[in-house]
Formats: sequence, structure tokens, C-alpha cells
Amino acid sequence: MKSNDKATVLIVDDSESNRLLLSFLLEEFDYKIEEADNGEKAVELALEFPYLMIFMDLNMPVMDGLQATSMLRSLNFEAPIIACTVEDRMSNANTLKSKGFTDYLAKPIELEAIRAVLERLDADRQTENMDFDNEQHQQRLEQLKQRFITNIPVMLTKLTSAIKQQKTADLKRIGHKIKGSAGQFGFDRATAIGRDIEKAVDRNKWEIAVDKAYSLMAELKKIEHVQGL
Amino acid sequence: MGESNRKQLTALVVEDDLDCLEILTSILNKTGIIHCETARTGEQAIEYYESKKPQITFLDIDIPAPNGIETLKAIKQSNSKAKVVMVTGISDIDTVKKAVSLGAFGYVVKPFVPDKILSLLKKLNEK
Repeated sequence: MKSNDKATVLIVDDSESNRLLLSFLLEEFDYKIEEADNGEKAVELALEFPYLMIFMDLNMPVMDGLQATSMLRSLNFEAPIIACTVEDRMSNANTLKSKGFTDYLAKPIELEAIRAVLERLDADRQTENMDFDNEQHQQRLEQLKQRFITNIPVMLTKLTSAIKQQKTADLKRIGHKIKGSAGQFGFDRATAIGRDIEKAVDRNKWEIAVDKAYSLMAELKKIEHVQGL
Repeated sequence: MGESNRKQLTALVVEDDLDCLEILTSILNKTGIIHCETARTGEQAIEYYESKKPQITFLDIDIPAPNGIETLKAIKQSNSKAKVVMVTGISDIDTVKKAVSLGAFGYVVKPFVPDKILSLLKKLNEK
């Protein structure tokens, strides 16, 4: 994460007061904070968003911190995961490292302890990078984005036709395609609507699917208008 | 990573959406160490995997039959050490659990972030 980005960290704890306290302490370091109250939500969020690090409580309902961390590490999840624990038996760096945690904070968490963990993380942070031409990648992405925008009238025609002829499979296919590609170009709302269309068709909710299809058409027109200028 | 440690890897990218296919292969190709092959369906993916045994497979979950999870199962039956990264538009815990229980190597949620893809490739080199 570049230093000029406001990095986001994820706090996972079933106790709201613990989350609030840790958020408050982390404000000192100018992080953007997101929260989850169990391990399952943490896994979903961690896989979806590029968090700088995760602060993970151990004892939580639904899925505890050990299970969530184990699941993430089995998928080669790289970001640091800091265990937050009151349990003496777990409060050992080696034990926790063998469970996939990067470091730990003992509760009650204090500002200086956080500072020490962050310093250790900075020291450990790997600097080696595989050669990657990001500029070239961004150029190619921009070309594909323009192709997506140019293709909007065709998508609108296909959506209209699928609605009029009540072709559920066609509507689902368009929703699926938009869901898969629009997010790549930063069109997150279109992605979300595409996902809703696919779900609605899967659940045989044709009226909802059509309603969402009209929303998607409006969104695509908006994209075309704003981006095509 | 030093030049002398580099070796050409073969990756199979399984994706039915052409834009996503192009973006992911573009990221992989720009590393300079990956040779990409592509498939559009689960059936093609299994057939390719069994004949060529690529070092890493990026497998979209929402592909035409069989779907990504079924395809992962078939690939793992063919080679239990296969490195398969699941690719999806939604981070859904039930699917993540299935992927983990079948031994997926990674789980990538779109949109693709080059750093995340590269970190998986580094892990591949470490193992």
C-alpha cells in the first residue's frame, strides 16, 4: 500500500465496545477502519478488499478467529493478521504464528502496544517486487473500458429484447456478464445490479429481475453519458 | 527475484467472460514469466488440465457446466497437488468453505488486483 493512500484496516470482534475502542486507538495512525463481528464475515471481507492488515479477536460466535485465520492462510492470504486476545495460553507469539497470525496484541489493548506491532510489521514488510509494468496494464485496462462503453448500446438492445420477449436465460446471461466485467472498470453500481439480476432470475423472481434490468439500463446510460463525453 | 531464478510457468485461465479473461491473462503475461492458456468451460478446463498439467490454474466459479467448484473437484482428483486459484465476483462464505475443503490454492474476488495475483505467483515459487 502506498504511503499516500489512506490504508484500510479490518477490525474483527464480536464486542462492539472492543471494536470502538480499537478504532479509537487506530485513529492515531490515520487508518480507515472497517469492522466485522464474526470470523465468517471477516473471511468474506478479507478476500474481497485489499486491507493493509486485520485485527482479529479469537473468541467469536459463528466462526472464531483461529478458524477464520486458518481458512485465509490456507488460501495463501498474505496480509498481516494480528490476534487480539486475553487468553494467556494463546498469548505467545510462537503459538500464534504457528496458527497463521503475524503478531498479537494482549487485551486490554494499549496504544504503545499497537505502535510496537506496527513497527515490527514495517520491519518485516517485504520489499521485493516481481517486475510488473503497471502503466502498460492500466493502458490496456483503459482500452477494455472504452470497448465496454462502446458496447453499451448493444447491451441496451439485448436487455430490451430479453425483457420484451421474457427470455430469462438471456437476462441472466447479461446480468452475469455485467457482474463479471463492470467492476473491473470501476462501475461498481452496474456490477451490483448485474449480480441482483442474476440472483433474481435464479430465484424465479421475474418481476424483480425486470425491475433490476431497467435499473441497469439507466445505469449503463449514465455511464455512457458521463464516460463517453 | 533474481533473473537466474526465473523459469517459465504455464497458467491455465478458465473464464467465460471475455473481458475478465483478457484482463487476467494480461496481468499474468506482463510478469514475463508466465505462459497463459485459456479455457471457457469447465469441460475444456478439465480436458486441458489432464493433458498439460499447468503449474497454476485460475478458475472462475461461474462458468458453464461443470461449474468452477465441480471443475476444481475434478482437477484435484486428477492431481491432488494441483494449484488452483478460484476466481469469483462474490465473496460468499459457503463457496469459500467448499473451495478450502477441496484444497484450493487461492481465492480471488474480482475486480482483479495485480498485487494479489502476483503474491499468489510468489507463493507458487516458494512451494
